[in-house]
Amino acid sequence: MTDMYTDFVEVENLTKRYGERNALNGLSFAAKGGEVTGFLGPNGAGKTTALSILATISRPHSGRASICGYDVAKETGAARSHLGLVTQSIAIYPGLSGRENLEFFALMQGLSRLTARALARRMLDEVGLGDRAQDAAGSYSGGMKRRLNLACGMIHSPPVLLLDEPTVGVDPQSREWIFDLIDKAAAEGRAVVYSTNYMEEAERLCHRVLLIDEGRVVASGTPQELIERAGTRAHVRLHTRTRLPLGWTSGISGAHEIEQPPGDCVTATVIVDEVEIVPEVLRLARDAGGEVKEFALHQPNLQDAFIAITGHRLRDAV
Amino acid sequence: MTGLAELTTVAEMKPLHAGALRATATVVEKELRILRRDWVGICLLILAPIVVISVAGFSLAKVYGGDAGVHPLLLVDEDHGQAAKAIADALAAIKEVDLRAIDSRAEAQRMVRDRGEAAAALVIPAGTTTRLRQGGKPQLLLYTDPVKHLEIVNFKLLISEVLRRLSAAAVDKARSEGIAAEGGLRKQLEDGANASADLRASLVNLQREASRRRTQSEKLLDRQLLFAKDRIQEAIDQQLARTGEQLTAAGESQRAQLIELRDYFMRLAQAREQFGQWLMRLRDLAGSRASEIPSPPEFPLPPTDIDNISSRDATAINLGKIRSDLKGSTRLSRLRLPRFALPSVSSLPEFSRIEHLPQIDHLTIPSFSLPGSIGFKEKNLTGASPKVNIFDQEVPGFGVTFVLLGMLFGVALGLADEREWGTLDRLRASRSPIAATLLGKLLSRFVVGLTQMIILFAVGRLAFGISLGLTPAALLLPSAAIVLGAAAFGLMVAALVPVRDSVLPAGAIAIMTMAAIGGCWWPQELEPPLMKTLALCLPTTWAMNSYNDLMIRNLPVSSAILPSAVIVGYAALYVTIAVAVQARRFR
Repeated sequence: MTDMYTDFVEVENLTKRYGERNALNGLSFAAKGGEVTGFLGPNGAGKTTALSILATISRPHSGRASICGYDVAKETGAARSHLGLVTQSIAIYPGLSGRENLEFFALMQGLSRLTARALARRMLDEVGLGDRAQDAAGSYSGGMKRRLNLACGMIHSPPVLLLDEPTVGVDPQSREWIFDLIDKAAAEGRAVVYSTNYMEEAERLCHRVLLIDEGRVVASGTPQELIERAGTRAHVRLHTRTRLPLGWTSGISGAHEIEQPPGDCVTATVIVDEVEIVPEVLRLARDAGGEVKEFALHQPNLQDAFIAITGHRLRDAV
Repeated sequence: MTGLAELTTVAEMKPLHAGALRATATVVEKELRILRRDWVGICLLILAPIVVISVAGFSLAKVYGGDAGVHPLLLVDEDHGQAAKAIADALAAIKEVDLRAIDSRAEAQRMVRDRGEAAAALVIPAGTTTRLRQGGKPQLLLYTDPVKHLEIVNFKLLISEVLRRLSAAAVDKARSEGIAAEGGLRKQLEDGANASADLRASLVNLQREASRRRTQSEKLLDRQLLFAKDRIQEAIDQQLARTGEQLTAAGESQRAQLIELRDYFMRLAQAREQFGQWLMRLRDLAGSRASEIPSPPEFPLPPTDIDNISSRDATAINLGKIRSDLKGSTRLSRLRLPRFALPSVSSLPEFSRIEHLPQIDHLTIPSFSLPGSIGFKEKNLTGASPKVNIFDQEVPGFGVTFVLLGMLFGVALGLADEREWGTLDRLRASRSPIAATLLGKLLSRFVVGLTQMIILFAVGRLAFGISLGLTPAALLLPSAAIVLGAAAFGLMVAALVPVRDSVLPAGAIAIMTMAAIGGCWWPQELEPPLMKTLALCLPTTWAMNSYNDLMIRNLPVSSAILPSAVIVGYAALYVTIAVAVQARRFR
C-alpha cells in the first residue's frame, strides 16, 4: 500500500448477524485522515460491531472493510499495524501503573522498549497523568482511567484510531483532556472514527458524522449539514401565566406559532427562522398578556436530525 | 493530508515472528508483575495451600496410619482377671490410645452414644480370663459410635493387634511350657528307658541267678530234707522206744491199781449185801415203826465191767503191737514228703515275659506342639519404608488442587477479566498475535504454577518431612505436566464459560471434582472401582499416580513418563477445545 489514498478507512456493505438479529445491515462509509468521523446512533445501532470489525476482532458476514488499504479480513496483521483501538470499557490493567500499562501496550504493538518507555512518558504528560505515572491504574479516578485508556490505544501513533464511546462516565475535565487529544490526533492527520451516542460530542469533535440506525448509515455529513438536511429549525418554548391568544406572533416575520396541544394553556412553542428574533418574540408574548414565566430556546441539533431522519430519539432506541 | 509514513511506527516494528516471541515475553512479564503486587494472589498460591496441607495432613493422618493424635478409649473391666489386666496394660501402652477405665457398661454407653466423649468403649466381660484358661473363646464387646468411623477402624486395628499379640504370647508361653514338659517327659522316658534297660538286665541276671539259686536250693533242700528225715526218723524211733517203755511201765502200774480197785469193788459189793441184810434186820426189829425208818441211801453200783477187770488183764494193751504199729507207721522211708513248693523261676510272669518288655529306646514320643500363630511382616517392594507419611499424599494433592485453583483465577478468571475490561480486545486488535498473548499468559502461569509446586515440595520436605523419592528432580516431570494441564484447563474454562460471574462457580465445581476423584484429597484406594475407572479421565488422577509412584513407591523417573505424557495429552485436548470454542466465538 501507499500513502496515496485519502480514505484511511473504507467500509462497503458490511453485514453482521448475531443469531436472528442483524447488527450491521449493509453499512458503508469512509473515513479520511485528518478527520474525526463520528458514529452517532442509539445503543444497539451497530456502532460497536462496526468498530469491532474494523479492529479485526470480529468478522463480517459479508461486505468489505479496510484500514489504510488493508482488508481487515484478509490482511489482518497489516491492518492491525495501522490501527489503534479504544474500547468502550476501560481496557487497562488495574494492577499495573499508568506507565506500565502504556509501556505494555506499546510493546505489544511491536515498539522497542526504549521507544515504548519514551512514548509512555510523553503520553502520560499529554493526558495529564504524568504525576500519577507510577500509581496503580486501579487507584485512578474514572476520568483518569478513561484518559489512560485513550492513551493506551494511541501509544503507538496509529494512522487510524477507533474510539468506541471513550468518554462514558467521565468528568468534564477529563472529557476536555480526551477531546484535546482527539483533536490533536486528527490534526496530526490520523483518521479518527469516534463512536458515541452523545450528539454534543459528535457536534463538538466530529468533522463528519454518520447517523447510524439499525446497522446502516441513515445519513452522513457535517453536523450542520445533517441538521439542515433534516430541516429542523430553532424554536422557542414559552411558559406563560395565561394562555396566549391565537395569532399572537403574526406581527413578527420569521416566527411561526405551533398549535398548542389541547388542554395545555400555558405552554407555547414558536419556530424561529433566526435566533435574533427571539427577544421580539418574548416582547410580543408579554404584550399579548401572557406574562412569560420561563422560556427556552432550542437550537436544532443532531438529535433533532436523528429524530427527523429515523423517527426516534438517540437515547431511547434499542 | 499528512503522509501515512509520518504517522505510523511501522518502520521501527520488528518482523512479525520476532514480535510474537517478544509479545509472549512481554505478556509473561506483565503477568508476573501484576502477580508480584497481588499479595492476596500470592497468599492463595503459597500460604493457603500450606495452611490447607497442614490442616488436612494433621487431620487425616490416620488415613495412612500416621500419628492421628491421642483418642480416648473407654474400658469396662468386668473380668478383673489376668487376661483383662494384660489387655488393659497393652492398650494403655499404645500412645494413640487414651485408655479410661469406666465402671459400668451403661456409663460407657452414655459416654459414647450420648455425650460423644469417646468413639468406642471396650467391655471385657466377666469370666474372660477363666474361659481363656479353659481353652474357650471369650468375646470382648466393643461399643462404637458409627459416626467416628475412621477412629473406630483405628481402634479395631489396635485392639485386634493387642488381642493377637496377647494370644500369640499365650500360645508362645504354652508352647514353651509344652516344649519344656516334652523335654522333661522325654528325659523321664529316657531315664525310664534306661532304668527299664537296667531293670531288664537286672531281671535277666536275677532270672539267671534265681535259676541257679533255685537249682542249688532244690539240691540243698533235698539234702536237708533227707537229713532231716533221717534225724526225725531217728528221733521218732527213740521217742517211740521211750514211749513204749513208758507205756509198759504205765500199763503195769495201771493193772496193779485196777486189781486193787477190783478188790475194793468186790468188798464194797459184799458190804452192800451185808448192809441190806442189816437193814432188813433193823426193820424187823422196828416192827410197827419200821415204816418210820427212812430208806437208807443207795449204794452206787460198781461198774458193770468191774468184774471184767480181771479178765481185762487178759486183754491188756498190747504194747508190743502198738510199738510195732508205731514203728511201722513212723517209718519215714515210706513217708512221701511233699516237695517243697519253691516257685519255678519260669513261672514268674515278669520273668517269663522279660524278653517281651518293650524296648524303650525305640519308643517314639509323639511331638508335643501347639499350632503356631500366623503373623506377617510388611515389606515395601520398592525398598522404601512401609510407613507412609500422610503429607506424601497431601502435599502433592493439595498442591495440585491449588495449582488448578491458581489457574482458574490466573487463566480462566484472568481471561474473563481481560474480556470484561476490554484489554483482550485491545490485544487482539494489536499487532501481536492473540496466540502470543494467550501463550504468554499460559507460560507465566506455568512458571508460577511450577514455582508454586516446587515451593510446596520444599516446604513439605522441610516442615513435614515428605519423601522426594529416589530422584527429587523427577518430581518436576509430573509437576510440569499437571501445571500445563491445569493452565490448559483454565483456558478451556475461560472459553466455555463466557460470563465472568460463572467462571468461578463452574471452574470451582470442576476443580473440586477433579481433585476429589483424582485422589488429591484422599487416597484413591478409598474410592469404589467405578470411580477409580472414571478418574482415569482426569489429569489429576495421573498426576497423583505419578506422585505416589515417585514419592511413596520410590519408583524411578521412568515411571513418571507415561502419566506425564497422558496429562500433556489432556492439556492438548483442553487447548484444542478452548481454541475451537474461542475461534467460533471470535467469528
